Amino acid sequence: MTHNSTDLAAPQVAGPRGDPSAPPDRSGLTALTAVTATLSRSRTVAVPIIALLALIIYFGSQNSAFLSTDSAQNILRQMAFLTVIALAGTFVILIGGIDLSVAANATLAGILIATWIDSLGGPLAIVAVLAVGGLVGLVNGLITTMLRVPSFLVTLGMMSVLNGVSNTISDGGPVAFSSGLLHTLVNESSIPGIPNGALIALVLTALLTVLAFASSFGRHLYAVGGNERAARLSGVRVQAVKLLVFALAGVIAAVAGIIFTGQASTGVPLGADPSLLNSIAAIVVGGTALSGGVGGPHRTLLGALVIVILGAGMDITAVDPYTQLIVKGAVVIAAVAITIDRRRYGLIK
Amino acid sequence: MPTQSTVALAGISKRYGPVQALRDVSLTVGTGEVLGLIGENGAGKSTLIGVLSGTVRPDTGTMTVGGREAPLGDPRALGGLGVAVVVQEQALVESLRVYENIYLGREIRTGGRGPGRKRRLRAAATALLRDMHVDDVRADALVADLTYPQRQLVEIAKAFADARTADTPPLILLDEPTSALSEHEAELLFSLIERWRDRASFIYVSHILPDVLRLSTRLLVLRDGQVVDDVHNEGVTDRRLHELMVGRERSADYYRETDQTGASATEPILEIRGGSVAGAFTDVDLAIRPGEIVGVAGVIGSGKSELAAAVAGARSLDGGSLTVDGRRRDRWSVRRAVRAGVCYVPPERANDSLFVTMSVRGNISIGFLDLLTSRWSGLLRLRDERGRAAGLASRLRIKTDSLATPIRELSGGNQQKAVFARWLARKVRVFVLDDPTRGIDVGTREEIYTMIRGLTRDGVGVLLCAESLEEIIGLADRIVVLKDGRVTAEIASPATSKPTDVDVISHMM
Repeated sequence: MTHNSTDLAAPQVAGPRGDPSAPPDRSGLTALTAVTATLSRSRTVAVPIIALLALIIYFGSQNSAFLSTDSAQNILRQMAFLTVIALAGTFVILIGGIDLSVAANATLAGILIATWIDSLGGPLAIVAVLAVGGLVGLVNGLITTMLRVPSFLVTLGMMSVLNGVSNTISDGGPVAFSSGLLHTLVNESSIPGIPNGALIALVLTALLTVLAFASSFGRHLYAVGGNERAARLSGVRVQAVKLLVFALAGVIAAVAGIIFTGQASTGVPLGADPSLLNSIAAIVVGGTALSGGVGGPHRTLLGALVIVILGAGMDITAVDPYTQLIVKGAVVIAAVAITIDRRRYGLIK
Repeated sequence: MPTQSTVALAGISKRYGPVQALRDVSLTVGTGEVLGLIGENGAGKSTLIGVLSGTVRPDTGTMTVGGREAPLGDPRALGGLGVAVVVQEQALVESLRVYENIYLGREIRTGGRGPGRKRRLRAAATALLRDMHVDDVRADALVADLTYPQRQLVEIAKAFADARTADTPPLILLDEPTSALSEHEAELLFSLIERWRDRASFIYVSHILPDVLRLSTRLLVLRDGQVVDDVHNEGVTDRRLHELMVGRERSADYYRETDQTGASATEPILEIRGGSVAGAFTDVDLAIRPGEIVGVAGVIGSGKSELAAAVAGARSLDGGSLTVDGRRRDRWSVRRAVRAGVCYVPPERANDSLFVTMSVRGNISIGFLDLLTSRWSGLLRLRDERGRAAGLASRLRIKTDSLATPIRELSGGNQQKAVFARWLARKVRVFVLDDPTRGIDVGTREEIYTMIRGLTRDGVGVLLCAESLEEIIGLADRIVVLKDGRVTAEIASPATSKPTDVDVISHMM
């Protein structure tokens, strides 16, 4: 994976360290500072990994069925959808906004693919659905940037609009289709043991991670999330970056919708909607801060795994569903509390 | 009349990270006194005012009011003891009316209970404003509708209202109170201070030395967080104060004046003709030639910062023209400016230029990502990025463990060097520097001066705004003076015959 190793990089700069004027007696202290600095930098990425291992060990020891192939397949299936829907929201959160319409956008994509796949044919239907998703995202972006409405409110409204559209198209009921393409694309395994859906999630994570760390667009996105004013004053086209981020969120949400319908083998109105909270949970648990500028797609994959394994583990150890809700809610709040940068806010309301 | 009303600080120290903002500062001020507090930017004046008003909690030291120990770091308690403050950043609630602001939190004490309190408060505010000879602010006006100077007057009224309600003679802290006031309004303030002197004590902070000299009974000079002198205001001159503040006569060496080159060509790189930005400056002509440093002097609110922003593309001109190499550029933006080699170091590092969430490397390379983008993949050449960032970091001697270190862990001086480094991978033609050494230690400052001189030797033109007049005079080849958004003078400042502060200030006021 190509990224700039901001999180874990070992010091390797010759210039400033080789500064002859630096007092030599401070080197012990400097080394200590460097160690603690590295620890505090790596902590956010270490936390989800440790949590992941702890959950697997714990649930595995409680019920060995948790470590079976069936269980693994189930986890990978759930992970596929949750990772992609959470990836959709990740860049928006990185620029300091939030997209609450990703799940509703995925639902719409799921309905549209079911409606179109038989008539338009697989490839064309998929392209059309991705385009619609991107268009929805672009509208979110245009309203946020041009009318200067906070993305939180724009996408909250958009969520309701999309629910209405999905239900109108599907007439409020499931949409059946006969093409087997989605099943092949999502549920079968090109690599033995890994459903294609999970593969899509992994490849998409890798692509977006490269985009985030090794492209101008990615750097601009972190700059806008870190300090929008400074980004503008250093020549970043802030509005263009935002538009692109929202449009991209829409396209990825549509991918999630296609996976959803492939897994359900029918178009379901309101199908993907309940996963909104889980997708935000996956993003923040992975260590992407709601305050913007910190985190990345690779972390969202980790976060999604934590959320899915937490759910699957609680299922398999027969924790009742109401308790599960309480646990998940608490995990989200804790993750936000750990990751958010309070200096970014004048007042916490 | 209470006799014990002296406010005293003893042994106050305050450290912010690597910066010792205050070091063992002691002071006393009693009724009838106006203590003038002076020092350069970063000398610790604002921190000291913060300690007195309770917004800054010092690391060590004590404060007494009327002989009794006062709670440090508790603005509300100190307010109750009669300490009132007028600060540069205004603390008024825009959605409330003037009288509501003046008596905010003291409604019952001033207006009493029961119906009619509103009316009584309004009457009290009207009387107060009349007493202050403030004629153009009505007590029931909405603060949001007032101009900045009017708001400043309301702030001052608020402090005086505190003075009226306190049982003991209050201490009123005035931190650069005239920075936004017209001459007439400033005169009003001065006469108020005179009138209230027997009923209150004052600490007056200003960078306008003649004002401080005129008002103060005693002067406290701060330098690098320490009190360097506590003198009675008798027979002290501007010049002497200046020496105390900077600790030396203005030194040609400090500003590398022997390296001053002046313009190396007559044709300007960038020129503004008849430029104006609404509410900031009007009809300004400005030319920046290769190798010259053009200083822009003016008080806060004179339009100098906006002028720098307009040159850098951060604000667009409402009138007039901007040309680069003789070609008119009507759609000017930071991005276009950067592509044309016009690079900007804005004034407020934390707000305007630093990405605290990013590494040192990310903060440097953000200025030249276009140069790092591979043509065939569209991705960044990360090794190239590392190499160039490391090269710039060592060239500017940025002190950091690693380029992956978060920039927030660096000192202010090293952070500012990273902001400079951002642009130095490009072919910079005009550097627009707005207060580039704000809050930076002396050592780094000198390094920055050396770097600026080096750039001009290579034919870079520099537009320099700064709070410190001395810095402008020391560095510039030519000084454009702005007053109320208009150019009032253009003063030559060659290495051989530098103008004095007074020469420049006379055109600023």
